[in-house]
Amino acid sequence: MRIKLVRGGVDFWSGLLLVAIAGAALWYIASLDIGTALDMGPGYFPLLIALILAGMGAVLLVRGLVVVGPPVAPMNARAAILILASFLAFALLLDRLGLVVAILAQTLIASFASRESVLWQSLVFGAALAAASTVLFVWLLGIPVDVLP
Amino acid sequence: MIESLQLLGHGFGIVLTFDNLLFCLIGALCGTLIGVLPGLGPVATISLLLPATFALEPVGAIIMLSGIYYGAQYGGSTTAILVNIPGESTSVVTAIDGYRMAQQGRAGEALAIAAIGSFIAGCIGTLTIAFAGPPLARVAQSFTSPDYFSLMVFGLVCAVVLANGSLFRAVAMIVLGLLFGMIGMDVNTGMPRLTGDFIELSDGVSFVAIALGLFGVAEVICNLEQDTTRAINSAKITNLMPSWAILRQASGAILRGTALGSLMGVLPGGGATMAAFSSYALEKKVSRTPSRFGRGAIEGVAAPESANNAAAQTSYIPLLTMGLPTSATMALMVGALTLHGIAPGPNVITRQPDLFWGLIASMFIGNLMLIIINLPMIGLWVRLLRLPYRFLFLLIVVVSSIGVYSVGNSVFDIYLMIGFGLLGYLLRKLDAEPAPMLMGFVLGPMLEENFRRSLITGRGDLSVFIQKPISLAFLILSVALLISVALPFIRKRREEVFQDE
Repeated sequence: MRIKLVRGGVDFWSGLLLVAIAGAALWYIASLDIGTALDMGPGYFPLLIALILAGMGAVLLVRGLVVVGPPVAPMNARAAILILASFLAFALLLDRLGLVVAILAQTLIASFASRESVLWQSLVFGAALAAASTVLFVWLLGIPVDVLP
Repeated sequence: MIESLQLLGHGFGIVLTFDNLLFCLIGALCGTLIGVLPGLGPVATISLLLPATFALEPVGAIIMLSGIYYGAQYGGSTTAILVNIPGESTSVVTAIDGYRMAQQGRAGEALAIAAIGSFIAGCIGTLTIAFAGPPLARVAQSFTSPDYFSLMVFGLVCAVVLANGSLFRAVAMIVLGLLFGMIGMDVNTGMPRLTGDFIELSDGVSFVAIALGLFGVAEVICNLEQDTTRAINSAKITNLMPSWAILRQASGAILRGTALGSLMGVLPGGGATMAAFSSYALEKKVSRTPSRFGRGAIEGVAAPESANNAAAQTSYIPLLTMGLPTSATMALMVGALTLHGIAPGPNVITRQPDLFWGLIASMFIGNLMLIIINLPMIGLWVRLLRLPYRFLFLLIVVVSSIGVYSVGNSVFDIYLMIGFGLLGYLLRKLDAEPAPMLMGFVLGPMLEENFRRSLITGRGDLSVFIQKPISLAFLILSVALLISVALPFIRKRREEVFQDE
């Protein structure tokens, strides 16, 4: 039998994620004034929290190496990437080409994330959403965005 | 007692205006809608609609957002009974016996008992807020900073202990949330912290972006990974007026569910889901014929549906009397109150009597609206259930984009939401719950504020937390709770509660 380095995938990767986030936070906190318990600087409490998080992350990471645990559930990268990309498209297009184009682009990209989507139906639905959003959000609720390019 | 009734009358005076009744109705309708539709929960919906309430008066806004929460408890049962998919996590156990009843042609009976149980529980839960709220707030007014700090620690510990899954992970999620809560300007010195040179972050991470990312975006991705077609029980729904025999049979379960739910709602981390699970377990235990459960027992529908609605109401007690959110939804309410310039805490009842009593009165009216919305209009919701997920998720992503943008009219918040969506998705895959993280995020700034003040009054000595009796009591309770969970006996029981059926 092959000996695997990572025995508990869930523990290992969640530990790694937490350590990475705590590490990034500590890097920013390094430039802050820490102060003392009586006269706390802006960095005092964040430092405390980040250190606890790093410690807990490290525990999980080591446990993932030592103790056999459940592996990470399979991921569907396609759905995740397409959904996140659809939001990105909306954000990039909103200020440049207006709400209607942004919504159409988002629904187009997002519709590929579902295996059950039928393209023309999604596009019709997207057009309906664009029309409804314009009436509800721009005309009635007064959100300041351009509707058309 | 008399005073409470008078003030409650005052509250009805506030709700019985055209505007507030309309907001209450919108909230109840939205709540039922998202309750019926699986894959869209109250947390995501409330954060979506939060920006739309900016223009409203605070009272109207909170009435509407609250309506969504308890309305979802009603709607969730419809889907559980007819489709065998819980529309909300709080209706998971309802599906067990409810769907069986629907298969036996007793769907109308199950739906009616669920709605009637919810209504009775909602009214009793609301009365509990009216009578228990003011005295509790008076107690909380005497709390000092160390007491508050320890109270919040206790609240977070409770949330962790009752959370599903690994204790250690849940604590880590809270700490992660606390860290995100630190981002932004330091209140005492005005220094930007952890903002990474983004000027947009100097006010902190947008609350709506983090909630929608963790609960809206991540959930859409997870749902798309599964098969989302659902079979709807298309049999005609009859017998929406249950017979006296059925009502009598269910009455005990409704009352027990209400009592247990009211209690669980007040406990931090208890909330509506736990209430539903425990009340189902309780019914099975007290029943003379436990073998009927799982085969269409009416008690198995009545008890959890009453319990989740009672808990949805009483979870407002710690929020409105101590400023302590006990669940992710209540954490959102803290955000909503703050955005409207109201600091949640023991002074809400005395300084914002209109808000407190108006909200309570609106809950009675909202529950009344909901029983009408859910029983005679059931056909409408069943038709909505046929909306396939491949359309629903498009609606969710577009409204999320617009919603998060409209909070500050800033595209930056959409980028933040994308980031938190990715994080939320990864955390779900890594078996870590996002709810404790959101609670940590909301409580983070308050926790820090009280920690700093405590150490100033205590002259930099940590022992200030054990010198104050109230603070000491909360800390002892927290430690006792953590130890008790680590003990093998209780640990086993806790797993049973979550794995029952």
